[in-house]
Amino acid sequence: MHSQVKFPVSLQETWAILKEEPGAFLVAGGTDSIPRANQRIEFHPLYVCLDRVPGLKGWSLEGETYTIGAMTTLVEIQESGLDPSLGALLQAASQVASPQIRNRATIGGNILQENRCIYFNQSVSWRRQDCCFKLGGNLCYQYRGSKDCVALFQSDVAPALMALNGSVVLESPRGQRVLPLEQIYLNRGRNNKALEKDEVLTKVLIPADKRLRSAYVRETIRGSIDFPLISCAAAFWMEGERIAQAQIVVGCAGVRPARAQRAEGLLVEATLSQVPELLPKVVEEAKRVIMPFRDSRVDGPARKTLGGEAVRKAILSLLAPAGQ
Amino acid sequence: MPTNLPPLCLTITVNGQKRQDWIIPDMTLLHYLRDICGLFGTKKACGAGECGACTVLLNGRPVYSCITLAAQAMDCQVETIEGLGQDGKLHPIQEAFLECGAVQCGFCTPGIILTAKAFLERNHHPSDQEIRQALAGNLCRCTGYVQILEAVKLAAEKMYGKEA
Ligand SMILES: Cc1cc2nc3c(=O)[nH]c(=O)nc-3n(C[C@H](O)[C@H](O)[C@H](O)COP(=O)(O)OP(=O)(O)OC[C@H]3O[C@@H](n4cnc5c(N)ncnc54)[C@H](O)[C@@H]3O)c2cc1C
Ligand code: SF4
Ligand code: FES
Ligand code: FES
Repeated sequence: MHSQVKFPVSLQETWAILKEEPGAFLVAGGTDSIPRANQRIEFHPLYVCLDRVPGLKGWSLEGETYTIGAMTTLVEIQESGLDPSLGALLQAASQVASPQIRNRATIGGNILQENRCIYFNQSVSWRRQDCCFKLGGNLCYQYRGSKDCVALFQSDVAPALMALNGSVVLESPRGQRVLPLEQIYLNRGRNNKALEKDEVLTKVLIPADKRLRSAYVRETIRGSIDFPLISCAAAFWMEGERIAQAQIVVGCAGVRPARAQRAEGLLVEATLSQVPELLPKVVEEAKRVIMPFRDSRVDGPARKTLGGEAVRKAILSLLAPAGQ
Repeated sequence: MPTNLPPLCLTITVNGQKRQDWIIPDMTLLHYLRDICGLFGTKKACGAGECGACTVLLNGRPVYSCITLAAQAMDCQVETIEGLGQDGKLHPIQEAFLECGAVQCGFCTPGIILTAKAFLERNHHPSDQEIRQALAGNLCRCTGYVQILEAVKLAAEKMYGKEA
């Protein structure tokens, strides 16, 4: 079986194809979707490549908002010279997979990447007779007894953008809507992006703020090519030495990135010099948002322990004096 | 492979040569280079973006050809290992790999040399750490990487001289 490939040259043409062709599937860099097609895990009768749709690349600072085009590649972000206050995004983008993947992978594709699981993301020859939820059945092999698919969402960029209060612009024939990143992800491991079939993610928006400092840390087995086992994006909005607002997001926490709100609460109003003392409690609270599912390489308890480390390292890296 | 889909007309520049080919629309760049262009230096191993054996340069940057559609390389410049030697003479990076014993089975070598080429063109006097990072998307099961690192350093010297 083969797929047809189309290259629309405008959003209007893209929408028209998505409307007319029920099997149409959007492709940006293809680094998330094409490997599954090669492994015969997935088949789409029509690829709609976004390469030639104008206006989807590059970044700008307009007023108080950074705007990043959905088709901007991760290497372009890595080399962008974006403000260091967006450290979490820069560090996340530059650690995804490998240089070759970052040369093709886009920020839009990263946010919308498919959830992954030890059972689903393997060669079809290992599949069992009874389908799991993701394949239309009604059981889960990764987490027996689960009521729905619990495949992990392993994006590096999404937790960083979430910590930075990022949102996305979705465009369809009905117009534009802006959705905070937190609201894109539904609470299950399959079909879990709150996008309509004909919506194209065109831009990522991040509010600029002089008081912001942020960092991203991920834990992996190898230094490269691997997906994160668990990760943490942390952002502080400072008033002098005092933390006015804190956001901690744990990546790979479960079916979607998870805000660690109770951990954040412990940091608000603290001064930077008080943070080391608070850290053990903050880490304990943050670990609670990590679901106990295994990844293809480590089990649930190991992911929790590594998650605590990621949170600790991310927060510690924010303690350096401003401008350092 | 038989298919009743209409073929796609690909215009592309491979190793400096402009080409036009009718291809199966969803063919990967890897299959296009091997099966249509007959350039077997680009290797297929994992087919899933996990090893680097299929690395080629797309508009001067290394990418995995196994997870790139040939159609996505439309009107682009592609460089494969066959494009490196000129007039029967090896490229300095190829020479350095031979001199350092950085090739054993050779399956990873074309991809690593192309990654190194794109990297050295941007960074003429790299540190060991920078070389390791640049080559982090290319696995080698044989050499243990030490000779590869030495070869990239030697290649930098051959191409751009010793750092002042
Ligand atoms: C070996 C390997 C390792 C990897 N490691 C990591 C890792 O460490 N961290 C990580 O985060 N990811 C990793 N990935 C996954 C993937 O490479 C990245 O997530 C990448 O950023 C995906 O971007 P893309 O443009 O290639 O996505 P694509 O495959 O093109 O698209 C992904 C999904 O998003 C949809 N989509 C893309 N763009 C749009 C748009 N503008 N509007 C609407 N829908 C859209 C597509 O339809 C598809 O469903 C890895 C992949 C591989 C093969
Ligand atoms: S987590 Fe989802 S994809 Fe994995 S076995 Fe369970 S239902 Fe299937
Ligand atoms: S064959 Fe392409 S990365 Fe392994
Ligand atoms: S020389 Fe054999 S894989 Fe590298």
